[in-house]
Amino acid sequence: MTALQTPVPLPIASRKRKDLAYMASLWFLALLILVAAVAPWIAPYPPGAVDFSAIWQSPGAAHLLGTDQVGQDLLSRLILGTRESLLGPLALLALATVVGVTIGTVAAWNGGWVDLLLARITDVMFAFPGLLFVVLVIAVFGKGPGTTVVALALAYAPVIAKFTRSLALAEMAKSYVDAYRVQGVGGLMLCLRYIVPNLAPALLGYLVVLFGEGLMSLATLSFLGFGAQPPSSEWGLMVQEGQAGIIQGHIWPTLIPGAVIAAVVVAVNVVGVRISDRLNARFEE
Amino acid sequence: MKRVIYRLLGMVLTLVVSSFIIFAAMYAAPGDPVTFLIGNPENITPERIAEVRAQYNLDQPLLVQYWLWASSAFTGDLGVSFQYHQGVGDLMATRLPATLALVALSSVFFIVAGIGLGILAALRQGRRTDSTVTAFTTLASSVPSFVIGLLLVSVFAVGLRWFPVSGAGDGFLDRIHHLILPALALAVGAVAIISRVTRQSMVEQLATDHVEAARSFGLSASKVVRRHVLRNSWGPILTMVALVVASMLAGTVVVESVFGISGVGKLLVDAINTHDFPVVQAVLLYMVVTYMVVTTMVDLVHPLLDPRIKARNKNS
Amino acid sequence: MLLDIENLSLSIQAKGHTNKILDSVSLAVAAGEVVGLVGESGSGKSTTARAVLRLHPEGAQVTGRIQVAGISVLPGTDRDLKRVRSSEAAMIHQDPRAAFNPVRRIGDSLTERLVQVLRADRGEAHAKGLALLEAVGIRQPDRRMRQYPHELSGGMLQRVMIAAALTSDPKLLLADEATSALDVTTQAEVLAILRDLQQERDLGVLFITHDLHLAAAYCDRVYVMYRGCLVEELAGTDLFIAARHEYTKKLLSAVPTITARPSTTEATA
Repeated sequence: MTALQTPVPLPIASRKRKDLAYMASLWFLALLILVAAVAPWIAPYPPGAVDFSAIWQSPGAAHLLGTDQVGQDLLSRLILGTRESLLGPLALLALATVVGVTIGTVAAWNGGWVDLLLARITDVMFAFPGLLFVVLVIAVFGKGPGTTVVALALAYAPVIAKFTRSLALAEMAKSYVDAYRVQGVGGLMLCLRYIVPNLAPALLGYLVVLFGEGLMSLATLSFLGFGAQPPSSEWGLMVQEGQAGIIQGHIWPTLIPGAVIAAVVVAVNVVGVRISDRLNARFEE
Repeated sequence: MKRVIYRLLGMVLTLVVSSFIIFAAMYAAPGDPVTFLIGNPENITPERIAEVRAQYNLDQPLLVQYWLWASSAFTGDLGVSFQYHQGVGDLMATRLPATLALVALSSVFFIVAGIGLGILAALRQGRRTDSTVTAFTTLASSVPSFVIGLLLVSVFAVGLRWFPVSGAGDGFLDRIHHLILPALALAVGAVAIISRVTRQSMVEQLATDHVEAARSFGLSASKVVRRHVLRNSWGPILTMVALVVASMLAGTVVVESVFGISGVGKLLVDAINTHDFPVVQAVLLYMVVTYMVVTTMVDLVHPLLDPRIKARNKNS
Repeated sequence: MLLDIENLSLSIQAKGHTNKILDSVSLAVAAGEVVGLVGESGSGKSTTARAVLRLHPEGAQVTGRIQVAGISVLPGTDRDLKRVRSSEAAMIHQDPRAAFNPVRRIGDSLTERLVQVLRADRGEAHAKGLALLEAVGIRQPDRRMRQYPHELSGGMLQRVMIAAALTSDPKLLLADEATSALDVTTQAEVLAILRDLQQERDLGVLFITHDLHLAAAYCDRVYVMYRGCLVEELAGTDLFIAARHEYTKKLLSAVPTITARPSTTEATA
């Protein structure tokens, strides 16, 4: 009967391990942001520094992480690609949040046809599995980092709108909203100054998790050749460019950017889950 | 019965809207739809323009054009590919077997591994095995499938030479041999989802009174799990399995590109790169239709697994 | 003795400190005897009954001795435990709606112990199930066997649960608030059925309840439990007359009666 038991709280050791993972993730992300900020100054080689005498080099003294098919230093490319790789998901989330929160709040506030329309739009969006909606947009408007970011933002906006709507509905049921209304505070003012700021914490945890997903989606699109274009060193594109070397046994040019993408997504998820947990705990209190 | 009809009507409505979006998307494109439809500027000749105009009924109003396109798509006529000068339906028919085999094999992997790991984690709940399974699956699902695919290629195909580097293979055994690595790459993300649902659903069941009641009269642990815990967990697990399988068709776009499999996903990527819009439309339509039909089916079949929901529907 | 519990202590480790749930509990139930176990919720009544079938939480530390019909459950082998669970003792749970698997037919749940644990023939098990359903006063038993739990009323389900408990002819019943979830009329009916079957089969019953009137009227002997300890043992008929322990008195005084108002308001219940 050892297999069946009632729930027991996590042992202390595992909780400590979780704290460690959280702190490590935070430090890793902080370091990454720092690297992105000072990338041009710390990259050992300038962007586009090609060296045909040193192609497919394994990690070594001259090139800490080795070189790619045209002899570019992988570490430099990785560092230089940090900005685009991190700003992409950030931009897409910013856009999706603005659109999503606006629609969600209006739907919750007005109800009626806006609410109905939102429900139908989400229905239709959910009919496109995975990245297919984005693929459609790219097919129409052409490839490029701009298109992918906007398309992904449009794909994420309904999800954020739906989430915002449910949060906003709960918020509007609170008595302070009525109190302000009685005092003659207008609807727009009330939403902008009180309701949306009160939703922000709950939204934040969700957005952090979406950031990881966005980064993965953008990298995937770049890998397919739809997103970032050469000579960019966006990480997904780096993986694609390194793909040709795999058959010859050169694994570093794909493995390194791939591992970095995975590490960032893991770190972001660890932090996101922790933030959501904290917020939930606060709500329960 | 009423619910079934409403659900089917809802599905048809969503299908109409999403297929309209797929069709009308080219009108949203900057420039004349004719040049856009022809795509490659080198192909623009007066004859070609006339041909495309006739084929797409471009002198008709948009809704009429949509109706003509959708109704011929319904009968299997999906237009002609600009790139291959071949019926899109035939083109897809030659590509479909590889993709379906890939999805099928991948489904076997993720169902066995996902449900297995989920059961393991649920039965060892709160212990080291549980947290290891959760950590492992979460980690695995954070790695993009193209990275996993390339990793598998470099280790098992290039390094150990156990599997071919690319292609889909011919004949049954050769096909499986070719598709094992791509199927694994496609399955990894799904394993995390399914094991999480399985674990969650079983943990909820393990805490119920009827499971304790079953233990109280001496039913062996394995029978308690099979007859009570798992039996009552199937609803959410199977729902999620069906949804994941349906959305996997979209996932093949990436994996087929990694492994150079000429399936439907690769067809879509190539079509976008060559501006072969009829193919893009047809493949998207096929993926969306499949996804919608499967999700609707799941909704309709789910009550059959749980007599309580069936009763509720009968009453309402 | 049919049920013999000696010095049963149980504690659970949680968040670094130890919660003592049971402290040296000793009680006995003889064949044909109905023994009450009363106390507030959380006092450890259910934990005691669950411990008899070793259904306590996995992480709990348990010491003491438990014997059912001469078979040792604590300490005990898995084999003995299975024998006690399947044939010697049966538990009647508080909430019949939760205690039946909602997706299995009544007939399956009713005969599961016979078919799956005792490996009885399906046909025989079915016949026995039908007979027991009749014995607990269920009409159209054949139809009930084919129905699902949600199609039956709470009172009917509780009767089915009693029937299910009796399928393997156990000698001991552990009735954990067996009638608390039912309305008054149904409660009376179920209690009458339980009483009839108990006398007919000479069953020993450990009857757990928070209803002191019920305990006084229904039980031959009553144990009073407070914070994991047994504080008093009384004959059922003496419960309202001869209670000596402070806690029992407090508990009794908190019970509303028709003749007198509760005399104190400091009761903890």
